[in-house]
Amino acid sequence: MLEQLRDFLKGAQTGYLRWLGNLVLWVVFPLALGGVAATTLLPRPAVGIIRLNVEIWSGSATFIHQQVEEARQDQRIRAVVVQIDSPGGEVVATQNIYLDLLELRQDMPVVGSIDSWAASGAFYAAMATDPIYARPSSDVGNVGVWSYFPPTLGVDDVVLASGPFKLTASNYDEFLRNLEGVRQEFLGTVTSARGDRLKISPVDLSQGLTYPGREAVQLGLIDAVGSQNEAVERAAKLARIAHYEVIDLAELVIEKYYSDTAIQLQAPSNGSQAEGTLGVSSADSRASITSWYGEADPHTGERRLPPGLYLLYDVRLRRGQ
Amino acid sequence: MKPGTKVIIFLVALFLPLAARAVWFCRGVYRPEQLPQLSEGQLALPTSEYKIYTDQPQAGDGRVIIDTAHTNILDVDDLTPLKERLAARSVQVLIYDGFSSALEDELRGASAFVTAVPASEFSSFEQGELAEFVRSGGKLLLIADPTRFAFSDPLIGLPPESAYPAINSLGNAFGVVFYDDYLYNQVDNAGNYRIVRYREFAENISLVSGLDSLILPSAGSIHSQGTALIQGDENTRSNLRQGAQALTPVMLAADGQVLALGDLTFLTPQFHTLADNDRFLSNIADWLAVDTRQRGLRDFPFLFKGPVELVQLLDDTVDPYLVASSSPLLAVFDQEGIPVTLKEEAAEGMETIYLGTFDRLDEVQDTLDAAGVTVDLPAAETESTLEEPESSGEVGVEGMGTFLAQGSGLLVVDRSEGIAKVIVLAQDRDSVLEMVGRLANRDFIGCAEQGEVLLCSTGEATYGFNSEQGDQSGGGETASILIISVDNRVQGARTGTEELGAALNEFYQVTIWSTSIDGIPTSDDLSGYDAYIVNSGDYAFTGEDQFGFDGLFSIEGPVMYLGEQPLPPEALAEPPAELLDVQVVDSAHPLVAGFQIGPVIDLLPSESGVPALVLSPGDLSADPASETSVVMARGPQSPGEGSPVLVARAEAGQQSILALFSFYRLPEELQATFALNAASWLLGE
Repeated sequence: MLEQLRDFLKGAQTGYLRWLGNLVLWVVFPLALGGVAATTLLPRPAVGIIRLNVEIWSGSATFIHQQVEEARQDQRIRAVVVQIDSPGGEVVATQNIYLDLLELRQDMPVVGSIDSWAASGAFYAAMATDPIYARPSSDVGNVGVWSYFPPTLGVDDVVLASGPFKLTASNYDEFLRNLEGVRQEFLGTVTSARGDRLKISPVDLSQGLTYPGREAVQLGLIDAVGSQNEAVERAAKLARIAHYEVIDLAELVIEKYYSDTAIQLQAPSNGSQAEGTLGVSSADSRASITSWYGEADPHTGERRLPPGLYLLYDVRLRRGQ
Repeated sequence: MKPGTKVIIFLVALFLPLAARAVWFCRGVYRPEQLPQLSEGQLALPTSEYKIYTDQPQAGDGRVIIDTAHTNILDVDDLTPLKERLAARSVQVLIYDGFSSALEDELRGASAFVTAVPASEFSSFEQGELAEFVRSGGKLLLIADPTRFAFSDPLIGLPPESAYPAINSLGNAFGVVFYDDYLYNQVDNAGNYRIVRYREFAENISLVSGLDSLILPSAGSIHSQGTALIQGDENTRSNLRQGAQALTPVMLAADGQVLALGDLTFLTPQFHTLADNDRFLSNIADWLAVDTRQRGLRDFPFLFKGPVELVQLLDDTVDPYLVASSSPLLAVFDQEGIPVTLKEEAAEGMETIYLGTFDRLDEVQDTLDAAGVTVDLPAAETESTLEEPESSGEVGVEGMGTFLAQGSGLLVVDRSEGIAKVIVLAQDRDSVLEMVGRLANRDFIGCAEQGEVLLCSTGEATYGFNSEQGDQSGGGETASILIISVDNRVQGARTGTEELGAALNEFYQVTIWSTSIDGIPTSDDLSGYDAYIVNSGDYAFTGEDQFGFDGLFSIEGPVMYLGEQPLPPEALAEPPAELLDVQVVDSAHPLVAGFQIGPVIDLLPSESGVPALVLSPGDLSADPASETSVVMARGPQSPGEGSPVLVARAEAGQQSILALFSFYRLPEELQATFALNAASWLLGE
């Protein structure tokens, strides 16, 4: 009897262990393995914040491009909110940003969130985002382009060029055409981006006014008045994600590319600049960049810009030497 | 458990976390929307609007003055196209720079005055001159431009200043207001909102005839009660006056005599060839090229347009003295390039100047009748000749009254044949010459004007100044007079030396020495002149003067001390007192010859208020060797009535005069007479 019981217990013990072994082998292990794999394969989703809060020129456009690339490469980033606080800047740099953001929208929602202002080129860049949020008193708009008249050069007995406009690269008529072309392209970008939502005529829009956020909503220039959090929530919703985190892409880029050096986004010959901050902090130091592009007149403080086309709202301007 | 079941459980367990995580984090899959695309083909870029226009100039008779005296903000070539168009119309273009000549002199011959983007305001004098110019038919072209600023010095942080107050300082006088704005049109433009195309033009006005469209690169708006030559459409707006409609950048005001342009840029090279701008430029040149001014004697010699004939109203021979003495007249014509020929008789249709005396009126009688001029001479005098004028009688001018022929000169303009004829008449040869001098110098001070008739006094030449001796034009050496203007004293305001010199300059070689500029003259400075006038005007005498000016009181030669206080007051018994009027006490004295104003003469107010010296009879020298005459005394309104104010003294053949009043306080009509009388008497003429 005792033997039978011992045998029974032994058999039971063996069965229990076998059962336990089976549980670990066929359930716990795959669960753990699946958990690890899921964490790797399906990380916690995130909404990335791209910061466009400086004047737009080639340096700042590169910085935005790096943030866009970071968003695209980071598996966690499922949506992006572009935080805009800029008066605009150079045409080509603006178009670079616009095209980068538009390309990103192929992969994930890109929502705009305007802080103080999205004027001129910054508004142009905002047209790559959808929807667009702004604060009630944000300055929105300033559609248009400007530039300096090209110089008119006569025949020179010292310099001989291979063509009549080789030295100026333009003339009055071409200049007008170019300016008008950029204006129309800007308008076309706005009308195609906003579509039926736009409630302001191209003629009125071409006046170059900025509108407060609350009015910009009525005019269809933006979609809603709201905070950046609302923009983030909207981006997450568009990306169909939940329980997400928010990642500052500008900070990631700074840590990745500029951790050991101060960010230099300004023109190299600046003698006097007004510095601003990116609004992010790196591990080493609070990164700072200039929001002042071009040189400052030493007497008046007016800004001097090199020749070119500008999608820029700034009254402190003078032609560069 | 079957092995297959175990595998299924394994797989479920393996994928369960992934599924759970997916369920936890994901709510679906993002599907990108149709992204906006812009086709470059949608752009409608501006095309070139340059247009070829062949100018067809018609010769004009105008003379256009371009203003550069008001800090005009012009680049070198800005007005070149306009100047070239005017030159093509044989129009003389002159520059008024404010330095080389006076505005009133420039305007005499001008048919149009152009001021473009002035930055300094026009003075009230200039406004008055230009208003008179426009009233007489002159044309005024006012050009503003919103892209030109008055002053900017960024080195010291000064912002640009608007130039509009300057153009408005003149424009407002003609009811034209240039607004400091700019016009824009976002719908109908030439590539840019501010390069506005205009298609609405006034009808039946030659300035805008033949225009289909104009392109003004930078125009400001203008307001006036005149005619809007060009008007913007409903999309043309002002950057400042939002909501304003029917904005115009070009106005014709002041009965078509003032053209106001709100844009200079369209006149400049390159832009004047846009659209019909070039045609408009030609129209403006055509408008400026035609002289529509009605000129009077004050515009002499420009009231004549072509060759002029000089005709003497004589019986037989031409008076060579008169011809020689007309040289100032001929010089004026020569200077302005107007040919003059001396003719015995006036030819038909020729512009003519008639010179003659009141007794030779047959040839001009019709003109005088038409002008309302009657000459009534005694029958016994009708045989007098130009050589020996003896006639007297009366000259009547309709609307003015009747005057003695003696001492009167007439200038009559006749335009009845569409050309100008001027008749110069006076009592005798010398008076005619004086009238010729007045005409040549446009000196009509004291003349009365009635329509096209000017009546001037020739009294001083007849009664006072001995023209035969004093007039040096017939040959001989001109007497020299040094006027020492003692203008560095205290409390004074004026010496009147300028008027004194001008009165004498016609007949004498006058040198002016200003003690404030030239210092105290030395004995060397005082030598070599035929006569001297020490003129202290209304400046008060000071103790320092007595030391510094000792030399002035010991001048050897004929001298006149002239002023309220030419001498130290301490030297006189009576204290200085206010001088309000004077009275002639020796009307036979040459110093007051020709004084037709009456025995009591009210003086003009003193500008400084400095009291005049009071001379008592005891102050006058009782030297029997000298001959002293009190010519004028204080008047009844002045303290010390009867005390001498004008004393003439002759001693050992040398004359001196003490005049205790300021020259400028004499009535205007007496100033020249007194100056010439005094000079003549001092020189013993």
